[in-house]
Amino acid sequence: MSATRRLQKELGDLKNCGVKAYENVECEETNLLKWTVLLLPDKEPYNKGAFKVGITFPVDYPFKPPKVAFETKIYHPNVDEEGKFCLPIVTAENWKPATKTEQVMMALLSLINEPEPNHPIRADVAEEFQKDHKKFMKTAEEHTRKHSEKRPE
Amino acid sequence: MANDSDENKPTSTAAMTEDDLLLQDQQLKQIEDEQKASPLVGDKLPFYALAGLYDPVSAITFFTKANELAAIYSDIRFIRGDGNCFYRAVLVGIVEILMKDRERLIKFIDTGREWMAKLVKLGFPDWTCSDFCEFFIEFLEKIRDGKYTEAEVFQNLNDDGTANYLLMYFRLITSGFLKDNCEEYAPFIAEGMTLQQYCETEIEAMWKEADHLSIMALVRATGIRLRIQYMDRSEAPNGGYQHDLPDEADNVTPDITLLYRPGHYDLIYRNLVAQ
Repeated sequence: MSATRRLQKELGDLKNCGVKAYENVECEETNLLKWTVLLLPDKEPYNKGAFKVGITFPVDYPFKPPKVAFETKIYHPNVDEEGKFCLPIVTAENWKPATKTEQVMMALLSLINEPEPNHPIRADVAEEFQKDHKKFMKTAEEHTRKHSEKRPE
Repeated sequence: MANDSDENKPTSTAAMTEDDLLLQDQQLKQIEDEQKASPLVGDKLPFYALAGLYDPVSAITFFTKANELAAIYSDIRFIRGDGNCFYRAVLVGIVEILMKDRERLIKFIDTGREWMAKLVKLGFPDWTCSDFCEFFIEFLEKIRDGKYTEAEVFQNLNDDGTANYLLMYFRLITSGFLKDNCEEYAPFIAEGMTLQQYCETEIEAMWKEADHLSIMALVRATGIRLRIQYMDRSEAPNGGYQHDLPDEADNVTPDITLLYRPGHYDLIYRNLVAQ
């Protein structure tokens, strides 16, 4: 499987990259194709929590993109209630085999830090984000407190 | 850089419903299964196999042309039509040349190393790109050191994982060549797109077909002499049946000849006896 060579390298790379934005990069013991990463957004209202992201790589990785979704609930205009979101960098249309998982994580982080209310997945949340920002911040902060994982020390 | 701001913005895909996406997935899967029914790289077949694909009545133009070409060409190797056919045909053509020409093989390995350094300098994601280059170089080194029989080389070229790794090298240097010669080539990019965007969306992504610009770039990046043989005059950029690259006036024997049928490239071989 050609994915193995690349994934082993990527896993080591991501674990040791020293970027503060994501931690606890882990892969299933028996399955190199399934990873989880703890995402640590640095902007309000998400900067008090940590969000677990699941990454599933296809067998023909890196020629097909990984599937990425939140496992932790997050209140965000661009993430649906099942943790799915649309990230152009990992769509079948745009995927480039040279793209690293690290770049995917950075793109996701940027989407979380800077919501795109004009291209929402959850229209109700996007509307609140734009029309009643204070309320949005409050709800999102509460939601983060209630549902998110603890940030590592 | 690959992770520029454009890519971080959700596109219209966000508006698609779950059902749409599921349907799209299924359709893509079906197309893929149909493609996979034929090998990545076919065996060398007598050129007459081409005429056999056309009905002498309903497809008379192509049937006649295929028979005409059979006087000039002796063999054909069908390449899978998965959007990579141009790059794959060139990959196979080059590997065939390098298996017979040791001096050129050694030079090609050196060029590979030069490209690896250059791509990083041009801002490609460092080790993922180097990984594709290294894989290609190691493959050539194994040929150089006699570690592969010809049959094993073709086994590798027909194994999806291995072959696509090798193919990515060609996509990357195509893109690298254009980025390195940005001033010369930027005017040829369709309006509304930068050369950078063109390279990222049309070349560095898999399954995207090559157009004239990427073909020229790959020819110049590899230093091969390429002839494209057309089935009908309307498709060739020079209005003829043949197009030689990199230089039309350079009337030498090409290293590789590709047959172009609308939307697809196969590898063809000149009849050496007739020459």
